Amino acid sequence: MFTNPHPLTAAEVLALCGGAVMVAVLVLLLRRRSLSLPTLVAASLLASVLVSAPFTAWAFVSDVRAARDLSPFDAARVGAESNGIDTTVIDRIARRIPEQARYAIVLAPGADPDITSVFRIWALTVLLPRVAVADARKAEWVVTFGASPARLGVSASGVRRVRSNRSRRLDAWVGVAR
Amino acid sequence: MTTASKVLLIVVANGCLFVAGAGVARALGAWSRPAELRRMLGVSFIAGVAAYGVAAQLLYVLGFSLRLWQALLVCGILAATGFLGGSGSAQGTPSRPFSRLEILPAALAALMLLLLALDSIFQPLASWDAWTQWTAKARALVVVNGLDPNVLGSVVYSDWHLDYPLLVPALEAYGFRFAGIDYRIVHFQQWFLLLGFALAFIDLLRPRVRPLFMWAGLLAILWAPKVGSETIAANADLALAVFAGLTGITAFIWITESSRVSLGLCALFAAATMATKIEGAYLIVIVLAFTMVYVARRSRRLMWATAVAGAIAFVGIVPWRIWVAIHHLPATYSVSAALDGPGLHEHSRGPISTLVVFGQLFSPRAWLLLVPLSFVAAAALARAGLPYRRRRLLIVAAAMFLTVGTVNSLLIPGPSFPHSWRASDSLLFVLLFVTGALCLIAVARSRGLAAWTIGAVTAMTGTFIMMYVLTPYPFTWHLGTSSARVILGPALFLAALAPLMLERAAAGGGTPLVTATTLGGDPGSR
Repeated sequence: MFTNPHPLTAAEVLALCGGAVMVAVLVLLLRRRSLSLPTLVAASLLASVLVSAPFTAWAFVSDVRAARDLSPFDAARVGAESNGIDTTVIDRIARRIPEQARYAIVLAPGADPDITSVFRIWALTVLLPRVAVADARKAEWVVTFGASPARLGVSASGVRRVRSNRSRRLDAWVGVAR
Repeated sequence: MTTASKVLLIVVANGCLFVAGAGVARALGAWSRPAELRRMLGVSFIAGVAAYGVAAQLLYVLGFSLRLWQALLVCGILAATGFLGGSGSAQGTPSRPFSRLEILPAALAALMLLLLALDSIFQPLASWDAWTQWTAKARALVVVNGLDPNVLGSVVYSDWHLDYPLLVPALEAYGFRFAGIDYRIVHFQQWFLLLGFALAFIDLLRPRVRPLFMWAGLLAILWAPKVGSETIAANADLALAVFAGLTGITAFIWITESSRVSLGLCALFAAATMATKIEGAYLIVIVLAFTMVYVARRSRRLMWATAVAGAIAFVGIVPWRIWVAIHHLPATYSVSAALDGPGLHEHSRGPISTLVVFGQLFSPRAWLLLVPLSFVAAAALARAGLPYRRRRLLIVAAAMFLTVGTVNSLLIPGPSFPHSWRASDSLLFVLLFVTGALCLIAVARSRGLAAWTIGAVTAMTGTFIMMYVLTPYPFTWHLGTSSARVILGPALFLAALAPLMLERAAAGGGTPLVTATTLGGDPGSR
């Protein structure tokens, strides 16, 4: 679920459903003299669904409304963006590397490990059909994040810094491996 | 392509899966004449999804790209298997329209499904596991045209958890082949799993369970907030839960009716469960083991039939495991990493995992009253099978366990443990453990289907707790990011069986179900 409105707390859900179950039991007892345990369980399930249905429905309606406002472009990358990277940087890297090329991703050791991990995972997905290799020396192209290839000791030519519009921390570099 | 066109194409794609599944269901004997197909719509569709998912995984391993024409050919071949069956083995009541009393719950079920369908069409790819693993792999299967060892067999891509099976990525890739790569449409593709589950639930339970029990169970499942949120999350947990739940229902019918058709469907759903997630294999081993033990008391023949069906179900996953081994893909859960890790030495991991997992299992925000009342359904069935003097222990133990479980879910509401370990947590853990153990002992004494169900659910939950204890990942992170999701499997397994247990409890525990002749059941064998 994109949004998570959670209109009720756990205690409120219990109170609401518990109250509905009690009402259901009372109504059933007034109509019948005896009530079997299976019937009681089924009636309780139905009562808890009916009493909470407006809240549950509202949570999903709210989610539809929030999700509908997103463009297809944003909807495709909200996961990566909300985890701190600028996905447009990788889009621009993709325009530089030919589709049949092999590339390596080198991450700066000092950068935030959570952000670098997200950058790496998103880049691996978006840069397909380009194939990533582990060793930069066996790659045709090099992508670095957090620092330039030179600072990371990676030999590359024609290096271009791909700037993020949000933060310099999110810049990446792309160059031809040597 | 507009969203409406994509939605239409996904509907067509799932229509093809239904046709494929209709063939598979007929081959298994679930229906023979077209009129009988009407009462097997949901079973046919889910059988199609399961068969396509398992077949696709095998075909990817064999080097196929499953382009659109190949995917359609697979559906066609699966549909053609229907000509192998249909010798008139399907019996039972014809499809009957809903009664006036059933229209309201049917409308409520449809309302929730409609709401979720709408939400799934607009849903962004926000769930961590969806965009970092499942949909990433689905996109790769399409972009590099199959299981390219340079990508899906390379350790460089190990962030995608490459040793996880391929059913969910294969299904999403199937949708992409029809509607193009669209990160929103994967949610709508997954919504069909819930729709199929709901219809299959009706197909399987309506002839066997009185309407009150069936509709109460179905509505409680569909309206559980956790089921809804996982339906539109594009994770694999809903698929796992759907297949595990249907494995449970068909295994239950196999046990009670010795129906060969149910056993066939059970094997198919079990194969799909294992092809969905690594955890699926653990769940299926548990269900099969409990089923074999249960039926062995009645007949060796039934036990061997169960064993053969289980072995056939496992065949589906073997090629995939061989592929993973050949490419030396790192194991997400390796035994050596578990034994070398800190799990065996950090003694607080067990109690913390237990409290958090049970907190999620009983969470009112996630399940409303579905899970606690499903436990009560099991207790009601166990009670019916116990002598009078033993019922008191069961009632007291069940009441205490449910109370402690609910209090625990209020004190530890989230998937993470909220504070450092305190003395009050020790008390809570001891109470939960003792009341749970008492409840288990009391239910086990009934030696009936309640014991089978509760035993399997306990073993499933215990397996997940052990996975957290022995996790090679940071313990707090792993527990916090997944416990709310993975509990869906055991919870839906239990909830799906609740109406069947209620029916048997209402009938006195050991008496036959309402109609036992459907799905090729042999009433004489009971």
